[in-house]
Amino acid sequence: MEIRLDKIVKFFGSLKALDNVSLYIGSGEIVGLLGENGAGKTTLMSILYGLYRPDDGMIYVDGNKRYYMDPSYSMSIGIFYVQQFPRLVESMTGTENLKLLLKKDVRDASSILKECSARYVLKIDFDKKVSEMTILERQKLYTLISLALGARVLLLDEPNILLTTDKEFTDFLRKYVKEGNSVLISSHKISAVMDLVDRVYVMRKGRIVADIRDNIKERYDEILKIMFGHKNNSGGIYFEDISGEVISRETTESKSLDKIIELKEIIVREDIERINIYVRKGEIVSVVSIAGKGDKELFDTLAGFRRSIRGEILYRGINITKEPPYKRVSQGIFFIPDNKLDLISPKYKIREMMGLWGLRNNEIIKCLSETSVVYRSQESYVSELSGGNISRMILSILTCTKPSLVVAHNIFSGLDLLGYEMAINLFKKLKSAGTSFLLIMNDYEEALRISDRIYVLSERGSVEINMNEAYKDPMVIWREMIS
Amino acid sequence: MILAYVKRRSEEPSLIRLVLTSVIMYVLVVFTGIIVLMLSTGFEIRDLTRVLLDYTNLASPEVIRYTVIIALLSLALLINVAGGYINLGGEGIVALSMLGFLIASIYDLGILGGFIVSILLVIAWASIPYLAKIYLDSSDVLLSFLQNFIALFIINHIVAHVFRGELARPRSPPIDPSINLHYVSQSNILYGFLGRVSIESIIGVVIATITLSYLLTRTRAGFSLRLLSYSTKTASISGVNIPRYILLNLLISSVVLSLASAELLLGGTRVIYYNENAKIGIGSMSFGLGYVSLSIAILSVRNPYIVLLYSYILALGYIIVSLSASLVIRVAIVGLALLSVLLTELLLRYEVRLGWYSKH
Repeated sequence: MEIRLDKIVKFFGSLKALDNVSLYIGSGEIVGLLGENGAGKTTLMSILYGLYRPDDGMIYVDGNKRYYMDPSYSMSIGIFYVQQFPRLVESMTGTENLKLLLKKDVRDASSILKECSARYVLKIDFDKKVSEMTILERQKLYTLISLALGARVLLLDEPNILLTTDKEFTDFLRKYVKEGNSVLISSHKISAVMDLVDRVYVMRKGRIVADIRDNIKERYDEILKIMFGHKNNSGGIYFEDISGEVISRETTESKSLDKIIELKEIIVREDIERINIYVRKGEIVSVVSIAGKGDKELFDTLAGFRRSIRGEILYRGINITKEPPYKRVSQGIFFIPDNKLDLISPKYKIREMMGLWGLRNNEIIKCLSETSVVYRSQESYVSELSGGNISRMILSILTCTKPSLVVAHNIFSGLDLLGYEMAINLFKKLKSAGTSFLLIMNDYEEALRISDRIYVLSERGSVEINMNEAYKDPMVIWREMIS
Repeated sequence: MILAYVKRRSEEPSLIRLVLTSVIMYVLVVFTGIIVLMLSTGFEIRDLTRVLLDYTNLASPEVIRYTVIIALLSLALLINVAGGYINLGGEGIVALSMLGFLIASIYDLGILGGFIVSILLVIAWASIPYLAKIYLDSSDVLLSFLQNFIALFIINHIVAHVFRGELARPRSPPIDPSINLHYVSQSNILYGFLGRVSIESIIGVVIATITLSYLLTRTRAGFSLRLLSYSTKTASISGVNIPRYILLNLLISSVVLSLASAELLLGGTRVIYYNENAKIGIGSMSFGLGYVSLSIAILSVRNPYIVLLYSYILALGYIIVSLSASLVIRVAIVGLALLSVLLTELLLRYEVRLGWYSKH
């Protein structure tokens, strides 16, 4: 299938979100759509799928002219959109979600998924409830459902962690396009897509500013500059960091021996051994695991959404194992879930969401500007923000509330490089002020860049990594993850 | 090429647009309905048209009384809706609340005692579906709907057997005169306008509207309460003390609802009686009051001030109901009034846009 967008324009109120955007996706191609948070990538994908209607421009599908798309038409011709936070029915299993979308015989939903899973080697437990899945599992599940429904073009919105941590998924994409299908991947992370894509479009402030067709890997720095306009000068760490410099070595060593939080003999799932983890004051500790291997359960246990099978959680020496989430929050713990929309509701206004954390008028403006959130006004709804801007908004709350412990699950997902740099700077600032971090992550390289200590979570429970060995050979962590 | 499509408005409607749209829709829908009734039936139309065109009804004491009662009930249910609790058992709860005043009358507890018993009964009864929803993930809609019938059966049983009055028909004894609200005396100039609406109810509806509007849209507590309707997970991870806000929700709604039921009972029949025609329900209250108030609550959740306008429109419908028209026509008129409110809301929240594409 060939798709061509011609001079697409889209306004949101007075904001010109897309400005004469033209793009081409050929059959058998993987096309990258790069840009910083708020560049217009998600809007463009939404127009291509039919969630939004363009204010001007034309869409050509296999040469046929269309003024706009709509989701049911897109699905009928094989265009599927795997969103950053896929919209699935949470209370249902993967199979049941497919049954909802299948128009014909629903008895075979499970066997259709099994067949697709085997054909493309995409393993996922589709009989598990969606609410129990991580975002990565949901993205993978939605991809599988799309395949089961006959997807010929996949639109993947920010699948960065999937692309960097799940070789199975990247192998699938290569196999998928070899069959004549097409993929459009939007991302703010060049490294996540550069090995995979045939061509990249670079977007900036609602415009396509570059169409790069060859030597993508070699032109890495050039693409960075195009994405962000100029080299940043707010501390200058991100160019260095992404090339492998270890931030935690630059940061001040944690001097305090006070344990802020300690997990003692915790069992979060029957098939995972005991977890023993502690975090000291002013320390950044990461727990890395393969997606779906206990990371969500660990976060939910820490946040108080589920009870551990056994063991106890001590916060400042006090047992909080049975405390409900809000009591943990009131004691100074800030939880950032994998699905950012579980923390920031799109249904409410920015003022209301920020007000929940005790922030008002000028404070809100100050906090949002510190993390460069792009927004219309405090009265606009969170739903108007892009996924990246929602992540930045969370960082702005962190900046202003200064909690004593941050527990986060895949905190960097959805952040572009500038956002990532901001997050790192913020962590350094908060760390020096005494804030501790317990970060549950799937990307071990990212964990190595920012952590003082790292634990690996696998069936064997928690295993602490020797940091000196990991700095020399990061694959130590990976090997432990898959052991 | 020209295209028409519907778009959700992001901004709140202005007061002028709100009032104008409501009035226009009411006139259009209700009057169109009357014409349809005129064409399809051959009776009572003259009376109905006369009442509809009689402008003195617009500010009759009975309309004002019903406006206040519907507004109070809607505001009570609105705070439930804001907190994510759809209470389909409005009528049953009003009946239970009335029972509180009856108990106070029988045991000489006075008006304050009546309010306290009434509030406690409402909190206890209304908390069942709310807590079951939060902690057991059950359906608040279904449970409160079921509870509605249970409450009405309980009240029917109580007035027929436990607290039965001396008359042959199953009804409670009349409420003691010491249990009463304060009304404008007949010599006062306001009497013709306010009629039988108590001072407490008028003050209550004004305070409740302003307070709820401010609480829900401008305060951290109000927003915390509203967050429960989005997701208890989001609320708890944001530090919202869920039990405290459930209690706050039930407490505020119970106080407002008790005032509504006090006005309904003490300013009306002053007895609770079994509805022999319907075999269920309380004769002391108009049919469908709970559902109508819930509809207003859902429509006004983003702007509690709208409750006053919608309550007035529905009260006008109820006045028409009070005519000696057939049951079918009475129900149809209330339905039309409700439809006009719904269409107003749709027009205020959505706009039809015309778009066009330039040729390339």
